Amino acid sequence: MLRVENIYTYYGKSNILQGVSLEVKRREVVALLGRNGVGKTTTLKSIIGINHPKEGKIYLENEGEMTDITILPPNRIVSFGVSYVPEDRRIFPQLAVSENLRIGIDIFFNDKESKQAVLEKIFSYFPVLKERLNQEGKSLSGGEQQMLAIARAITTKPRLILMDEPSEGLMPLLVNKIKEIIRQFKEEGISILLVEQNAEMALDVSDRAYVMEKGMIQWAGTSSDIMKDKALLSKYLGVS
Amino acid sequence: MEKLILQGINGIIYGLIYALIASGLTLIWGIMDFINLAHGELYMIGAFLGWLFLSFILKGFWLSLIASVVIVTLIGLTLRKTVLMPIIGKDPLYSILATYGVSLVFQQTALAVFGPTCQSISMPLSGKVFILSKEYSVYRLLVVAMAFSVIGMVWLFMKKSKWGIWIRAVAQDKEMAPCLGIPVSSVYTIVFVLASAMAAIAGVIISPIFGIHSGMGNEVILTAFIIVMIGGLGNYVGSVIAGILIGEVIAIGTIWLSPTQATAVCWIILLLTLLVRPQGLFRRQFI
Repeated sequence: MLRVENIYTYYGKSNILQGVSLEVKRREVVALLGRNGVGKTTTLKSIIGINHPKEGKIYLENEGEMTDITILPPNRIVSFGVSYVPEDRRIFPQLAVSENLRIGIDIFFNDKESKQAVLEKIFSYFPVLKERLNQEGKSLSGGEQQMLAIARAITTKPRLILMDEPSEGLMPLLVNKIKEIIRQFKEEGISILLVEQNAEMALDVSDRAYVMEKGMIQWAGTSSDIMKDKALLSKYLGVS
Repeated sequence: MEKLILQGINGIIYGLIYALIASGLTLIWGIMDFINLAHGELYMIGAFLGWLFLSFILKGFWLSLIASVVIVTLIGLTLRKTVLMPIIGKDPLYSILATYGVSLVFQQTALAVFGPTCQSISMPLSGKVFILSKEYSVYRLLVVAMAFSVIGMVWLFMKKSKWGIWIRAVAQDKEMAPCLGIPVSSVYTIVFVLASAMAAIAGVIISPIFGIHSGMGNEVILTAFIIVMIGGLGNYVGSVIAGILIGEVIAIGTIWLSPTQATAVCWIILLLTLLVRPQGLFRRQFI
């Protein structure tokens, strides 16, 4: 589905990613873990096309072939079926909830029926958004904004969703809701690359995990393996 | 009293013309972070083209208006593709210098081709109405109606259409907008089309009242910037209200003051606004 091959990404002169390689298969939830500032968000931004890598390649499966998306702009990458849920939600504060949702729907769905169907699907995941349709994005609570950010990702017909810290700042009940939604996405055939500080949550929902440090992948394996490795959890993730 | 009311109506006319120019400026500035000092020249070129079409090529004011708007829009798009595209996203100094250069080229070319004398177009409607026993030109009232219609249509476009929502989304978060599939470059193009067309419409419809000369864009651009700042950067409705406010200050001010002194009052209003509310009278908002 997605193959990242040895990418180097910079912010100005700072070399943030130093040869990151990873893979996400179809219907797979993959966690990308690590402490703050190790390059997890930059990895997602490189994949979605916000920060293009200076070296390395990023391939996405498209109609049975691996397509090079390394230097494509974000709107092209999204059209290949990659969605992005950013770290700080980044909903459009002065657009109504309905307008935030309408952007993707207008671009990726043609007829009225399919537009309505995707809205109904969103409301089945997040009923509260139906009640907030006419409110401006900035008036939503943190949890509602996160729901809107995930809902917005659905509007772009994703095959792969890049999720950056979806549980950040949410109360436990909502974190469970996010986990439930990630599992539902997987059942629907959507792959997920999940960046999380909350290692416990991420390992609970993911099939495999990568652990990053200093812009490099330090460990890769199944989530069940990493959960058993207390030394690894302690060394790279600060989990005791 | 009669004079005050008539000048009040004139103030609305001036204000709406300023608003047509300032709202284009605020769209470009608010959405693209781009300060376009050549925007006033699109207004001037619109007026000259209207006069040229009407005098030499086309029969009828309205056809000339349409033709001018089309050509100015094409000029605006050419500017975007040539001069502006390479410097979008760079330090504002680049856009200020580049567009100031473009504005000088346009001004001096107009001066060289058409000379320093003011050209005039006769009013397409010659009728008069009586306002408090004073005769008043029907065309002036039509200018109010046309300017309001254009401003209203652009507002509706921004509020209701797919492209309008995309434009507002880009204005609010340029990094996230393309991650939802929005073609940001095309959005910038549409913004330029709208802003250029509004400037051209302003230039053509006001030319029977103000006349046409090479310095008219330069005259209006500073006032338009005052309006953008008072109205709140990126705030379309704010720029329309501020436009009318400044139009009234200039029109009513000229009952007692010279036009230059009335313009000085506008600068004082801007200074006071920036002292009390640095963000402008209205909040920084996108449409």
